[in-house]
Amino acid sequence: MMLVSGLIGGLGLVCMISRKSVLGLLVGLQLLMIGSTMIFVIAGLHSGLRIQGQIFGLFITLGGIAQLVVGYSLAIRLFFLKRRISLDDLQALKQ
Amino acid sequence: MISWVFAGITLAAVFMATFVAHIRVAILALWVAGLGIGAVYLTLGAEFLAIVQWIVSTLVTISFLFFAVMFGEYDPPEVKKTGKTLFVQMISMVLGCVFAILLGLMSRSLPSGPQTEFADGSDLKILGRILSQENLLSLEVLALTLFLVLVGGGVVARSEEGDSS
Repeated sequence: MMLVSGLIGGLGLVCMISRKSVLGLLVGLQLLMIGSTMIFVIAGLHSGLRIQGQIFGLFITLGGIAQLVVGYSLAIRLFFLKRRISLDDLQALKQ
Repeated sequence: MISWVFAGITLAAVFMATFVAHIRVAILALWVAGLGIGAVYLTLGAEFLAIVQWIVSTLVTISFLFFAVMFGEYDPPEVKKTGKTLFVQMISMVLGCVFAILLGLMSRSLPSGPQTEFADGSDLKILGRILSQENLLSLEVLALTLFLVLVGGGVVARSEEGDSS
């Protein structure tokens, strides 16, 4: 089961690297969050610290929401500037 | 056994979310993956986290669809498969596989097999007590972080003069 969670996280990493838009990047980020949450839950089950694993998973899930909100706000700002949300245009936010 | 069924469904949905070209289908696959992972948590005895995962996945999916429509990404993009694109995809797949294999190898050092037998039938009561007594400061910090992110996101995303040009 740990390998499954690693695969989910790895595929999230693949999605983050290979997609060209900010929304695709955020989808990959959510997959990575799902995989990392599952890692903590499974590790807690195996090591006898079930509750601690679930608490770590809860905090990771809620922290993922914060990252999502930041991604959305950057995407909106980029859309105001460039009328598209390609990752190649993110440097426009530095100006 | 039922955990593996849900894990298989989740893995299939994650594959689809990663490799499909339509952002709409990828978002729906992400939703299925979230529901599947919640079902895995439920079968492993983590009921609270399962419910949180289902709620978060559903809300995230709705917001993703909303933003995909707003940004005009509802239709599939015309992607040209250049050599650089294929190279990046191959490198990212190798990185993902290395990440999964490393995690699988490290999991062998865990002390024992999964403990799915619960003395009191559920972890919910203990979880609530530990969250409210031992992790109260962490919860407050998380709440403050989410509030600041909400306000900061609004500030960053605000429109200014000349943006439309």
